Amino acid sequence: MLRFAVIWGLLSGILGLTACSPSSSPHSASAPTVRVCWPRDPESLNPVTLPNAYAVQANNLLYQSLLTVDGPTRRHVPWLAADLPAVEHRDSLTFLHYRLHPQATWDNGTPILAQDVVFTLKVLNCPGLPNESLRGLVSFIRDVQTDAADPRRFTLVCRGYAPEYRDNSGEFPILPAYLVDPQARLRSVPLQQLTQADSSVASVAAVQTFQQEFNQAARWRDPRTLRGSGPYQLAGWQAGQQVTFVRKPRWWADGLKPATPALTANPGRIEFHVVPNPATALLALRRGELDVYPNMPGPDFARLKTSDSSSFRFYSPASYRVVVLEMNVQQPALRDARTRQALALLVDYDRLLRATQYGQGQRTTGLISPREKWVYHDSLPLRPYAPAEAATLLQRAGWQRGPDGWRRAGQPLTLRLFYSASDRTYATVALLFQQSARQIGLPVTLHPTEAGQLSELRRNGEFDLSLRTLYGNPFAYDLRPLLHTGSIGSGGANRSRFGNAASDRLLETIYATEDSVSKARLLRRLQTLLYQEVPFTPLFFEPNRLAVSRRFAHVRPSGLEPGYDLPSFTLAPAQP
Amino acid sequence: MVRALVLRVLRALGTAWLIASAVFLLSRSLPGGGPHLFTDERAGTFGQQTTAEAQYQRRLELQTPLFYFRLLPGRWYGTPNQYHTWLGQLSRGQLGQSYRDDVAVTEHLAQALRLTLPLTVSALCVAAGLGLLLAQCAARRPRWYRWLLSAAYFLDSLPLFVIGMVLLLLLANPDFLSLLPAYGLPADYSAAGALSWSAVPYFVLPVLALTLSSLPALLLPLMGALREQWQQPYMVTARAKGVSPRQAGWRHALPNAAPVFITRLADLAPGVVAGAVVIEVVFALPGMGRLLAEAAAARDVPVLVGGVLLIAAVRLLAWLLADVANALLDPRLL
Repeated sequence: MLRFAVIWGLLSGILGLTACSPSSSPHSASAPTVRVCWPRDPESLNPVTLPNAYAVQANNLLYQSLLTVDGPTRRHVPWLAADLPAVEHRDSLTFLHYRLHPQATWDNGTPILAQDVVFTLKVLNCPGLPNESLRGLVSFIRDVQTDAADPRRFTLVCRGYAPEYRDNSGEFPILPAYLVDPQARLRSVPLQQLTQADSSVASVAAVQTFQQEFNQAARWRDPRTLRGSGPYQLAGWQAGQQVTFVRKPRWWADGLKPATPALTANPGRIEFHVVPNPATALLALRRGELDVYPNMPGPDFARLKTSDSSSFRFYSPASYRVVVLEMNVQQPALRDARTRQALALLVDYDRLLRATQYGQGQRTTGLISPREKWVYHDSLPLRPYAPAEAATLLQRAGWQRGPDGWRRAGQPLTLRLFYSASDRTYATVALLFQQSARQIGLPVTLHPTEAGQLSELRRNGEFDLSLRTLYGNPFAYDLRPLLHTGSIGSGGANRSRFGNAASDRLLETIYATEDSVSKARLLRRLQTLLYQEVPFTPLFFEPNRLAVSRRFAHVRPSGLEPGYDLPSFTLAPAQP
Repeated sequence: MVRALVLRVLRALGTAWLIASAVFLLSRSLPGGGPHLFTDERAGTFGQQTTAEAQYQRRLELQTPLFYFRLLPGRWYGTPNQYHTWLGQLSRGQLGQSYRDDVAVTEHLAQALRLTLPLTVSALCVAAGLGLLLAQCAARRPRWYRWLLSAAYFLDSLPLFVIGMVLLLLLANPDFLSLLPAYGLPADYSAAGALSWSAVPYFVLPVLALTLSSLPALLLPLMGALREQWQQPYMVTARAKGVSPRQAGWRHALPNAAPVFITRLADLAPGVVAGAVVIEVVFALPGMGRLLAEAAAARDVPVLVGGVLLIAAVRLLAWLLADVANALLDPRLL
């Protein structure tokens, strides 16, 4: 009896404690709490590092850039800037004229001025800081001209000209000098000195002192330092577990009318819960411990949609992530375009979509999303699954089918397909491709490989075929990092090793062309070239599968990362 | 005895140094072993990538040679090398900084251990206690023995992932029993830095899963050893003298069967600091297992080497303690 009482007591205690646990966070009608599932930790919230998409999402709650992207409309809109910049070309320079929002202030009440933009660019160009990635992004900005009459006006002076300067110039977070450099170490160092590739700047005493102060890791976990002009402040960060932001009681954009979506921040508290296991995340969502589950696995999404449609809203807009079967065009067996075309015909695209995306996702003829109708080459036919035609193409490429497979000049045609071992979608795609290839007697060996090692193999061109996801957006059509010969190896991400002088010229012309009609024409020409040369065959654009609790409205789903607009979330009106 | 102990400690320290050096050198010299700023998914600005990558490598001081010399083609680099710097730091009790966030490795390890130790120590204690109790019961009850043997082999054959998921689906499932939290910890857990009662429900399922997975490793050999002891003549004598079965089991059979149990405990001890990556992933707990798995995936070599060094030290210490305990129980074993 005593044993029973002890067990019952323990169980009651546990259940009692569970009831007290913060699994059901309180909601305020005007400022609700939103709990979002993340599969991994952001690793760093340092605004100049931003190592992954989660760090970027968190940073966008703390800091603001001059411009931001409005997901649903797929446009850049002013954020900290009052308007989009005016662009002026003069000689070999481009001038981008900005004016900061007249009401924008830091949390200490001081106005955000052009000098803050200058300071931010100094930090982004300062050597010895973990800013290598962002430094490349703003490398085209040579100087900043401030306006003596209006401290909020400034002009970015840029080297050369590219249409993307306008958008790229507004994408870096503006940092508060009073928090990041309270001793004003960088004030005496001119921006031009930092933007020049001059190694002597690293030995300047002020720069060295600033490096030491900035690189103290503890600063970038401290809510007092991690504070920008954004609507939220960091409330807590338990690494690998949870990151919490709370709404600032007073934010400079609170009084603006009319409030644009970019300058709206409704939730009072935003919690990002790190749940790496999808099955656990699904249970937590169904138990009401999470409100938002982005990038859900296809099977879970399909199951939840049938079982719990009364509790959740489901969205699946096509993203700008395209899964491709990449071919190493420099491998002797794959040098002939007809061989690559034959391999592209061995992919059963519709079956792949059913097996991996549960019928969602979007087929495409090229790298450009079919949603971007103005540049998408819809005259090209979607490639069919045609093993017989593939066999004919292989014969035309000089391969002869014998009892032991395909041979050309005595050399057998055997292919190695590499993919990331941790990705279930890739594993399914690889198996289906292997089966299709076997139908025409073509042996394909599968090589699921650890991600870091796979990167190295791809970088060195030590593969025949590989599965890869390419991340795009509707703004930039600078495909040089993916397709230019200068991007082969460690210089970029051209892993198929495709390219020649003509394709490089085409890519550079596309990059430099501003006129949308000419740009669309050139991009169609590029799509035709890629369709014929087949350095990769695009399999499908992935959907952004998103489940959101019905308690919330104004989700504003979009195909752009992260796929929803958290600051816009409001509590949905109660259902009758 | 003291001389033998000192020799074993020295040997253990030497082994720990060899393991850590091997991990340090292998992890950096293998293809794809070093960290990169840009990956296949994250390309840099066109024309800037090589420069940015070089700046990144320079900041992490990865541009210096790895070791004192290179074999093919032979070249002597001298002391300005990564291994020498790391050894220097190690001699001062520092393990360096994480490549990912520049936080000291010791801080990362301490933070992960704050979660892992309560989890794994409690699981090991429960498994050890339960193992002792069940083995004692089974040793003198043939039916219990047969039943427990089957159950232990069945549990042993289940992957840890399956055990964790089954518990989750049974006890944290809105369609079945939604008794316990499905994941994570209370928000104030890390901030407090100490155990709080509010964290207890969050630990129940992970501790249960770890207990169930480690129980067979302790129970099976101990059960066998105890059964063997019960068939010895000295046990018959003890029983004939009127010693109760319980006393005979605990006071006479157990000390003779204990070396098997202690050796198995020593084998499981590294898991106390290594964490259980599977359970930490299933229950979303940021412990040592996940820290090391993520460090390996991100090529965060300082964290990885620090973790391996710690685990190796604990394993060696556990073996040392097991040797001492066994020697105290049976001096012939020294």
